[in-house]
Amino acid sequence: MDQERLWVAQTLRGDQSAFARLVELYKNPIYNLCYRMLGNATEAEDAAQETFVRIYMHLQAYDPQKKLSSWVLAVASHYCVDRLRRRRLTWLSLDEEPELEPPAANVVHPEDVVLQNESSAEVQRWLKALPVEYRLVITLRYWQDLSYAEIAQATGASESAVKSKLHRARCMLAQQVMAQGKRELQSDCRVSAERTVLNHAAL
Amino acid sequence: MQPCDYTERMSLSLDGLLSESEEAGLQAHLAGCESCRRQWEAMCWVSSALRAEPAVSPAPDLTLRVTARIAQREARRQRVRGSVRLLSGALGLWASAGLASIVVLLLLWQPPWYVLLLNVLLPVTRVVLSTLAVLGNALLSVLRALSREPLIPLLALYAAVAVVCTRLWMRVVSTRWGLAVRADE
Repeated sequence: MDQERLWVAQTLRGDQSAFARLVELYKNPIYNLCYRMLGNATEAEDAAQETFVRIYMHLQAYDPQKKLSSWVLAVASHYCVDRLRRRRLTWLSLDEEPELEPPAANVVHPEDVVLQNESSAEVQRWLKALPVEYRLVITLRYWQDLSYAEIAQATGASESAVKSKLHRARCMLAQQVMAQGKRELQSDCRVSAERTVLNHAAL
Repeated sequence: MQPCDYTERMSLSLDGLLSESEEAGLQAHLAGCESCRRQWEAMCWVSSALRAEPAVSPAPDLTLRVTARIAQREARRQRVRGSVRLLSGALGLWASAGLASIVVLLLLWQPPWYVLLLNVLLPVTRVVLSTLAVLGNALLSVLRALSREPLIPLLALYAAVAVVCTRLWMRVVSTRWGLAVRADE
């Protein structure tokens, strides 16, 4: 934390290498957020770069009393939302949104690669079907592991709004899964269903 | 059958934010409500699928690219700042030169001040006003002509269709033949 503040201060004094350290520190969460939001590796790469440029250009606006990670994620979130809105505003587009282009997976076996890519593509399809604000809270909750308060800080919404959006997003995702008629649903959730019945019996 | 209003509690339960009694209440409801149980199972399934989805990594040279982009942006900003400074400097010089000329003229001027007013300022004002009047008249006559023309809505529609078609064609060309221009640039 102190190290981060030091790097911020050095960057503000014009030290580019200090900013490079900050980029190294935050490149994975930022890229992840961009990828989950935009659903395309090339676009996510570009969005991540642009986010860091914005962070660099507006670093003097950062309040050192707050967590840098929250501020950085807020910049990335706003940029992705803006970008998606702009994409939606290109109403004359003849093409659909860019096809899913998964980034390099960290798996070794070819069959694992195929399975992983299928699963990732499915997750991205679910996310793509969500409204942008819901996609953002799901991404921040599941891939950035942020609390409700942190999500509220990053998105500029209230905690109750975050709670409501997460709830609605989960309902929409569940509807998608139920509509697909996932066979695995039965087996995967047997544990939770059994827990439910057992808990009830214990009561 | 629609699920009951337990879905928000299900969401909070997935985040471990329910108290013991609330959790027990939810579980009791789920044990007796088939519709909610199905909803809960789907939510659990999605939640575990999302948690199982690994984080993705950017290209290793992202930092280098960011640094290069910042350098490029800084250079552009410097160029803009330099141009503004150059322009403002030139304007300042011109203004100073003009002011100096006026001062010299006034110092060398022998007749009284109102002669200067009559001989210089009035003709300049007259020229400016007459130019503005000509431009205003021209604009008014164009507007008058346009308002009398019955084909104006048709022309406007034609222009709109032409703009839309051009934009579509540009989009087709840029996407189909790899001349994509980024929306944010």
